[in-house]
Amino acid sequence: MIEEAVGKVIGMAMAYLVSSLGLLLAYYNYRKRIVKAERVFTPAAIMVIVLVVVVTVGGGTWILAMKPIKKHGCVCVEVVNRDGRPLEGAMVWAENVSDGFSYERQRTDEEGRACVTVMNSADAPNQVNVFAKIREDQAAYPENPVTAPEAVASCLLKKDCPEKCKALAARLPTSFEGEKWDPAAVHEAEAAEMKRKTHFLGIALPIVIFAFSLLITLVLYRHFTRSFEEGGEP
Amino acid sequence: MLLLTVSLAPLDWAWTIIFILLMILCGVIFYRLGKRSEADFFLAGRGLPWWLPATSVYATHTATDTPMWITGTIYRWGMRGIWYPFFSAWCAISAFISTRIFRRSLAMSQAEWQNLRYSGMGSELLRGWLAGWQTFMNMFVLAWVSAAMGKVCFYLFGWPNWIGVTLFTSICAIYVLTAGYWGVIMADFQQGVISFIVITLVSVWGIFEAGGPLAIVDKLADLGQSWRLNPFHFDGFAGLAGGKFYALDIITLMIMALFGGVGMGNFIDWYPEAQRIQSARTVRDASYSIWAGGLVTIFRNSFWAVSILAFFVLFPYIDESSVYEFGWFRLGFDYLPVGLIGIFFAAIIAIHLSTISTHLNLGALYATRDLYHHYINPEASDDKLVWVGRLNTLLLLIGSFILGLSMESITAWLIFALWLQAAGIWIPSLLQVIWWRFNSWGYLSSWIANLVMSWLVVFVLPALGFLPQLPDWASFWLLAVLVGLAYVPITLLTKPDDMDHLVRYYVMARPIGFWGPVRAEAVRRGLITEAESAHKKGIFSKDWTPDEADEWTKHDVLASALSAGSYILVAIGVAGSLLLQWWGYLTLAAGLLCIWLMYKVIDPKLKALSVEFELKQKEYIKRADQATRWED
Repeated sequence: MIEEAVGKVIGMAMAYLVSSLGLLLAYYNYRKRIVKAERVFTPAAIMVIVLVVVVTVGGGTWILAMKPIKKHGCVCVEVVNRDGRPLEGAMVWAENVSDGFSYERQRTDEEGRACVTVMNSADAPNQVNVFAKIREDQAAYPENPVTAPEAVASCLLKKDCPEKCKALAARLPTSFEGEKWDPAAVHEAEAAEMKRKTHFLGIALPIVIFAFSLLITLVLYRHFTRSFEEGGEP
Repeated sequence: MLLLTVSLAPLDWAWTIIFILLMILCGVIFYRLGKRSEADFFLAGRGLPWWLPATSVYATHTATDTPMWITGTIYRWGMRGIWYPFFSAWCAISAFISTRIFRRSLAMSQAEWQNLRYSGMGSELLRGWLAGWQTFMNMFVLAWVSAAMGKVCFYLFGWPNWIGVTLFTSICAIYVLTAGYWGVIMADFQQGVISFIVITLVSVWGIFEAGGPLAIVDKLADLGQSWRLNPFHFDGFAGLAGGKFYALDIITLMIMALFGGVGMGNFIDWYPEAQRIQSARTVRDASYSIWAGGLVTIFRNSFWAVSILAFFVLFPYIDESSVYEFGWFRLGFDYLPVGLIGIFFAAIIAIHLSTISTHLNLGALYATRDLYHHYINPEASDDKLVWVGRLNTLLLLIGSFILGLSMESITAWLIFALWLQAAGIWIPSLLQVIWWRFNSWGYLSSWIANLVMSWLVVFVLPALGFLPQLPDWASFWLLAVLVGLAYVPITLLTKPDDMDHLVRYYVMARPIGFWGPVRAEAVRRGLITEAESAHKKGIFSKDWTPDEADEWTKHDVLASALSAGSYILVAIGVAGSLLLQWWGYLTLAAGLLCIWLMYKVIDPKLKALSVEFELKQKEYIKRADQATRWED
């Protein structure tokens, strides 16, 4: 988050710099070439501009001096299937009790474990409800709500995760029967069958497209250069 | 992190390499035309028929990360997500309002237009500011798009980032450096055609892989997800909760997109399209190029939307956006046969090249025409300007590599910058077109104030606890009001633009809106003739005199309304028809009817005003060039 904020500040500064160079170039040229440079601003307009500049500088200074007022924490949970075996591929997340905000979602690894980042306020640790989902079936951690740790750690920022995360003592049971779930797995047999049936198109279609492309290029070239040679506009 | 680890067969590589060679050839071959003059290097001599810039409008609306963005939107929100990419519908109204005005101004760039529209020091400062901003923004967009290509190549092939960032962008630079905009537009045409064919092919392929259109509908019902078929399924009218889809989001977006078409510079897309508008050979060609390019983009979105519903049916339970955003890529790489995968990859490269070539040439246009030609060397010859154009292209290329490779976190700023560009300056961008009293100081202050206010509204005030994190629609309207507090008083506290300058602009561009005093002065000086008869003409009237066609009449309003209606109906109709739904056929038929009526209403008028304007164009171009050389 801080990295992104710094990136935004640098990006904005670079854009301002290049635009301001254009502005200065314009001002210099105008004063040089048009002698009667006019006075355009009334005192009231100058006040508005000064106000805008003050707010800009104030806002920029604040951004540069910004400290994270929210701290990351994280919790780890083990998800199991109907038989109590570790379940790989379940989606885990933690919602703030106060506002329902969820900061990160993670799928469980082959040991059924997943760690997710939660947002702690600087003053007090948040209470969160932890959930797991597989397909459309959602299951709640049996000891919800849990208290997120005060330690500053973040799986999102890859900082002290899972070392300083709070490992939840109980397991999170689901009704899923298998031990692994991959929602993005390709239907390989169907895909292979589709590829086999349509193989001839892979030769015919590109030839048609490229032939059209070459032809239209040559036609356009001839059309526009002929106009050029005749001395007229294209 | 997801890795698709695609492996291409030799036949796929062969098609990919042939495609790249073909693109280089079709760009480089126009070298002779590109080197003729500054206007050739940046506008293809202002002589293109409408369908060439139209394809380019479509091609530039399709960037490297567009498939991922639209896939993510549709997978998450269902068919209602089709409204997020609908902002390209600004073309629907712009085609018959701002495009017409901008084309008649004959400004090579939006920065130059500021000089023609406004007068005095303010107009120069505005031109300098916008030229600097656009030069940098184009370099930034190049870095952003190249970085996106780096990621795509990493996900697909596991290539190191620098290869994806530099390889295809460098290939593109060959024909942009050689032939300038001639190379851009000719390659864009090829790339637009190829990418449209492939997007259609892969989408239809995906639909049938999911069992066909009716099976998709049935499977969504089985999953309890039928709401995904409804483009108007909202989570209420308005609210501040995140992760919801409110009607007000879409109403705001529709207002932004459609009414934004009246203004100039409201959206980042306006700047490349402004170049396409000026490269069209007549006002009529310019109008149709923007209209058609926008419509094809809407078609494309609908094809994509249905194919992503197919992907959802195949893979319904993916929660990670980083995984489902690659859904459309997966339909292609997982299910297409050998050979077609090569042409699919070629289309992905085409999408990338069309964006890169546009921004390379566009950034060089601002750096050359506005910064170098106008401010540094006003006496430069055409030969010199072409070479400076090439040098600027090269500098942008190198700058984009440095940015793209070394400062990835900064690209986050770009998304924010693009958004804020559309927020606070949305109304001023309209006002500068429609209100004579709006002056350069008002517009310049709106830019500066917008950059400040958006930081406050989006970051500072929420972080301090003075404001909640607002949804986009609320931020948009709040920014519109706050920025207004700066530019409205500044406009009224500073002098209006010089009347001679305004009259000259009015006679040339004939802007729409509140231009009463300027128009009266132009009539008094005998520079224009009032044609009251224009307002009494029938809706389908074919006999327009040039003076009548110059007037803004009910025909323009009706054509714009029909155009906007056709975009909306076609967006829904194409998607519904692809799913074989009766409401799809009905709305598509209504959309086509709107297009036919629009053509009948506006075409005779566009023809008449174009013919008349052509006769004066050479004189106007000469005058614009004189202004750039400070001889005015």
